[in-house]
Amino acid sequence: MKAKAFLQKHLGDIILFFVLLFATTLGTIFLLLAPTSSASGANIFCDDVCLLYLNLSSPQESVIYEEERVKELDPSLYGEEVEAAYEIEGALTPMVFAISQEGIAVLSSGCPSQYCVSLGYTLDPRKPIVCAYNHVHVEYVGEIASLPPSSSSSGVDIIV
Amino acid sequence: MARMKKSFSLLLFSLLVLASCEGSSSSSLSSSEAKKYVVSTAHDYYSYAVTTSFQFLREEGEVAPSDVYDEITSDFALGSRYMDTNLSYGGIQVNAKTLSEKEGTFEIDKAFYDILSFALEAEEMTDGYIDILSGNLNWLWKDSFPKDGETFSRPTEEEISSSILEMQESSLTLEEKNGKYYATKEGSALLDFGAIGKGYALMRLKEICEDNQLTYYLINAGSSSILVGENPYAEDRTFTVGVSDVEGMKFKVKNEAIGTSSVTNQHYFDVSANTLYSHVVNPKTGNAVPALTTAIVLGENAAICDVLSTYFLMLGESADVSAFEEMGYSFFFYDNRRSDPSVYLSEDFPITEE
Repeated sequence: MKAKAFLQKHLGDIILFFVLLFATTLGTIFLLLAPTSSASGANIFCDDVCLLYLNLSSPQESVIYEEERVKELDPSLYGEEVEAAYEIEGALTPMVFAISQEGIAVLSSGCPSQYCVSLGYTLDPRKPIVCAYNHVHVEYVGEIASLPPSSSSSGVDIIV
Repeated sequence: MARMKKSFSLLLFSLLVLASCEGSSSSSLSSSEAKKYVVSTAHDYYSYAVTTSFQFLREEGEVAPSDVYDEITSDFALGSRYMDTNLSYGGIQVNAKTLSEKEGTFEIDKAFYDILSFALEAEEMTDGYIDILSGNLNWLWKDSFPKDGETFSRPTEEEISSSILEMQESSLTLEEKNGKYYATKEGSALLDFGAIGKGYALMRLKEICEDNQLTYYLINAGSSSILVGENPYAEDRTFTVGVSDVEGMKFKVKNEAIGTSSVTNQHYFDVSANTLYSHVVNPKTGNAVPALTTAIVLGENAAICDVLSTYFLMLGESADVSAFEEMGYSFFFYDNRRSDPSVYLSEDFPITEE
């Protein structure tokens, strides 16, 4: 009798409690099972302005943020291996970036040292791509950016 | 009313549960939070590539506060702006570009005064072989390295002599007076912070890391200048370093700076003369043929490591390492043009056994 009276008195509260509990449980399950982004990409910055996002998983889905400073190029002009190519306006000279299966490369730059070009195709955060003459650098995002360097097969954390 | 209070409490509880699940499912190592591979800022000190990547900026497993990143980024960028010989910047009246283009006495910021002071100390430390007034001579050689189908045109002896004379007839002096700082530049020499900039920046960044009690960090200023704290992923807390010029070579470091000079990315090999020319030019002779192809210096002070790596690449074993070894620096010299390319290895250089 007491239980019945309790239920009758607090029926609304009990229903509300279970509805909220159900919603919380669903939300938790959703968060735990929701696929995390495993796409790898790279943002191309000039000074602090992001000009371009290179989608390494789907190069054709790269995103141009500064249309006045970035031009999409015909990748076939740069070799069979090139999947996408872009010309950006650096601080001082234009630069051409390309994506292939091997990663990102600076194909050309007007800088005197050509250090950025000499790196070739790379996906190695231990050797960041930068053309400081043009104030341009590459920031990796997504899965590639979350791997600790000591997980590399060579056992080397950094290369000089 | 009571029902509303209970409902609100339950709703709040639910939200807290959701929030805690979100927090626990994300790792402190996620790219957005830990910024392990953040390339925050890349600015040029002397028209050559400088990379900044702030890795493992964590404090006892926790991410360093964002204001530490901001401090490091802004300090590095600010140093770059003083040493940039290509561009002027708002808020900085006098920088390297100004001093390169003009003669006279200029009031300068303390930060720039400190950079120039170190440059003059580096000149004294290396008996004049590291000279920030050597820009004309350095550019003479760099411009001669062919690009995109160009042919190599070695600078003539007359051009070299003229550049050396320009440098010798120029001077840079500093003065502090009544809390203000002045630089006096005479002559037409161009400034060049090539052997100083990155290391100096890392020296400043180390102070910031220590002030903020950062333990785990790896700051890469372009592979040739690196500053490491401790490695949170290694049992012995060291970082394993590979050497691109020497296959299979590895060494381990922690709480140390690494200065590397190498001809790999900046050189020209004249086949007809069987001669390798590098970006490191001897300011006394105008000679761009390096004594070594790789010089690695380890030590506490990143600025000195940067200076010494260039100095020894230029002079090789003809310069005395012992005085610097006594100061706590260790060295590795390599020259791939020799039959036995390993030229020198300090006793305490932390090379790993293969």
